[in-house]
Parts: sequence; C-alpha cells; structure tokens
Amino acid sequence: MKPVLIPKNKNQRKKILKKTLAILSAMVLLLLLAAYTVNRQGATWPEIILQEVVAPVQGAFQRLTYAVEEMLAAIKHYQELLAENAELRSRLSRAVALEARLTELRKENERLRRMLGLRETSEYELIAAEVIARDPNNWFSTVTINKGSRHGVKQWMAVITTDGLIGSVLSVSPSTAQVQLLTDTRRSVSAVVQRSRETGAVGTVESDPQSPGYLRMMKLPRDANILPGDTVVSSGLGGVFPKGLLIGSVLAVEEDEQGLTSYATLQPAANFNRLEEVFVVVPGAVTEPESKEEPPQEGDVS
Amino acid sequence: MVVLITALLFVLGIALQGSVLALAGTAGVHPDFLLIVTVSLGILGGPKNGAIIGACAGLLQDILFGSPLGFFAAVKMLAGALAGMFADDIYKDMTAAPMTLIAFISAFTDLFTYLLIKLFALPLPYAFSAYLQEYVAVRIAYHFFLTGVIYPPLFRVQRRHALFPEKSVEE
Repeated sequence: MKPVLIPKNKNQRKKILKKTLAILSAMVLLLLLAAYTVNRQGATWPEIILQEVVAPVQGAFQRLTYAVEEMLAAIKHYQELLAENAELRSRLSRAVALEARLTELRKENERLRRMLGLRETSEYELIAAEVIARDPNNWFSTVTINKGSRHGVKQWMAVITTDGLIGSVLSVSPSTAQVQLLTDTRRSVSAVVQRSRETGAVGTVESDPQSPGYLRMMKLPRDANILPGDTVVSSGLGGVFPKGLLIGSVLAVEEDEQGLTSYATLQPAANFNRLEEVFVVVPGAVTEPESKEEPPQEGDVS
Repeated sequence: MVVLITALLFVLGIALQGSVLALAGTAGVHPDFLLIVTVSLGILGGPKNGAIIGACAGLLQDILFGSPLGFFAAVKMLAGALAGMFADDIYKDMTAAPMTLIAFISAFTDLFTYLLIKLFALPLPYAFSAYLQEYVAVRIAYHFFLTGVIYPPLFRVQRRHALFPEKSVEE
C-alpha cells in the first residue's frame, strides 16, 4: 500500500517555519480587526456593494432550492397533496367569507375608535420580503432578505413571519437587508406573558444555549405569574420591537442556579429553520437604542 | 485564471451555503463549502496561496453574514495555510489523502472557532460536549465526503497547471 506521508528535509522545514510566522502575524491582525468590529451594527459601503453584487446570485440559488425542494416534496406526497388541496379549497372559501366579515368588523371598529377618540396603536405597515440567503455557520444567525432601503426597510425594524417574531434588521443595503434572528446569541428582546401582562413578569428573551433552536425568557422574578403553555409577546420596552408581536409559548419554567430569579424555556412561534417569506414591520416611529453599551431592554446580548 | 476560478467558486459556495447546503444539513448543522474549497486550493497551491484564499473566503463570509470582520477570515486563513503546509506531506493524486486532511482541519477550525468565541466573550450557543457531538463530528463527516466530490476536478485542472503556476506552488 502507498504511504500517505512524504518525508521532508531540513530546508523545507525552515521554509515552513518562516511561512508559519508570516501567517500567524496576518492572523493576529485579522483577529484584532474582529475584536474591533465584534459589536458592529450596520455595514460599511464596501460591504453594501458586495452584498448588492452577491444578492442576485444568492436569490437565484434560493429560488432554485425552493423549486427543487417543492418538486421533491410534491412527488413524495402526491396523494396527501390532493387531499390537502381539497381541504385548502374548502378553507379558502370559508376564509373568503370570514375576510368579508372581518372587513366589516374592522370598519366598524375604526368607526368606534374614532368615536371614542382612541389612537390606533396596534397596526403596523408590513413590507413583504423573501429570504434569499441564510448564514451557513451556527454562531451568528442571520438571513438576507430581498428588500432594502429602496423599499423602505430601515435598521432596527422588527421582522416577523405569519407565525411570529423572528428578529430585527441588522443592516440595510439598497435592495437587501440582513436580519438578525432571535436565535442569534447577540440578539435579545424584552417580552411579557400575554395572559398575565404583569409588569413584574417582563423578561428578556434570547437564544437558549442549552437547546439550540429554542428560546429562553430570562430575568423573571421567582414568583412571576408564568406557566407552561403561556404565550409570550414582545413588551414594546426598548423601542426596537413594537409591542404585542408573538414570540413563542412557554415549555417549562425553572429557577436559575442561584435561585434568585427564574427563567422559562420557550418554543418559538416561528420556525427558524424554514424561513421563506417574512414581513418587515414598519412601526409609527422607529427609535434606535440610545447606546450600544446600554441597550434599553433588548438588543445586543454581548 | 486562479483568481477567476476562485471568485466563481466563492460566489457559488456562498450561494450554495445559503441555500442548498443549508437545507441539506441536519439539525441546523451545515457543511462549509468555502472551507472545502479553501482547503482543496490550499493543498494544490501551497500555504501562501491557501492562506490568501482562506482569508478572502472568510472575509466574504464575514461581510455577507454579519459576523465580526476578520473573524472567519482568520479561521479560514489558518485552514488554508495548514492545508498548504501539509500539501507536501501527502500524495495529492490520492483523493483519500485530502479527504483525511480536511477531516483534521475541519475539527481543528471548529475548535479554534469555539476558542475565539470564548476569547471574544460572545455568548456560546452550544455547551462544549454538545458542540463536539452535534456540530464538530457531523461537520467532519460532511467535509470528508464532500471533499471527495469537490477536490478531484480541482486536482485535474491543476494537473494542467491551470490554477496555480508550478513556480507559485513551489514557493
């Protein structure tokens, strides 16, 4: 059998040592740059240009992927799809009727609100976007969407799916935007339990390091009124995420190691592994966190 | 020629990583196409070329996916350089050799990444034991088999010195 390793002489070893030192120096420089930019928010113009150049290719591959995946799924589940199609048609007809009823109710609601002089605060304009790329590494969960500043997307805007909140806009280029997901360890959001809405039950939702893909609601008082099955929504504190956006449901509530506070493990409402179409929430006014060092209630974990 | 092919491979790699490979991965763990390209070209082009290609690949990843600038550039530069350094120690025409080499480099870079995450005091999404079992081991397997697909065509191109001139490799 042929040996895998080739023996080397001393000159070759010296050359390797020199190259090693050069490479280590370059690495130190790169790591210093990384340390300097570790908390960066937004992108510089060269990055924006590069994102703009690569985005069409990413978009094309993403569409191709979806097409292939859908085709394979269709072949595999043809009979199921037929049944599902019939069911969906039936649901659609019911939904159309419901929508008409909803429109009537909304109009009535608006009229009543105007009559009562209440300010409408719970409706946001949505910008529909498609996910065209995902961060391939598992450390920083970001996705790229095909809508950017040209379409009205701005940094810090919340991003949702039809299921719930998924994150916020990290940086924007004219036709794309990077979305930092809630599963990114650098992202957190101030949240409240929808059932109780106690001011004392406001916690910070962030990625669960013990269970990737799940979220954790931290810094809850020990006696907080929170139970498994409870729905958790954004509190609106901090100014980044509008209030009332669905985050997930409580799976379990436990005390922390010191026993001073408790935390809840959350099942995210949105499926972070299957993000295709998302909506950027355009609130009435978007406010940036006052400083990176002291984010209000949500923002960078690091 | 090498710049053109490498640029095409990078764009293809970034696009594939963000789409097809992201779907192919299990439990959120995906193969790193750029790492495979970097190591393959590092083996064929030597440590200097490997380091440069790795740094460019990592920087591209940093820019496009919002990680700290230079973070993955440093990791991939090290991977490319290591591949180049070991290039003289292995028989490049045996696909099993680069496949074995990337298994080691994959494990090394993943552990190095973990170390850097701790060094930069970034929150860790995995406990170390889970990281080894659910991430590092799975990626070693991905990279091992994908190198068997990606390396041979690159080797055939390089055999005609179409990627790196012979002198550049010897340097």
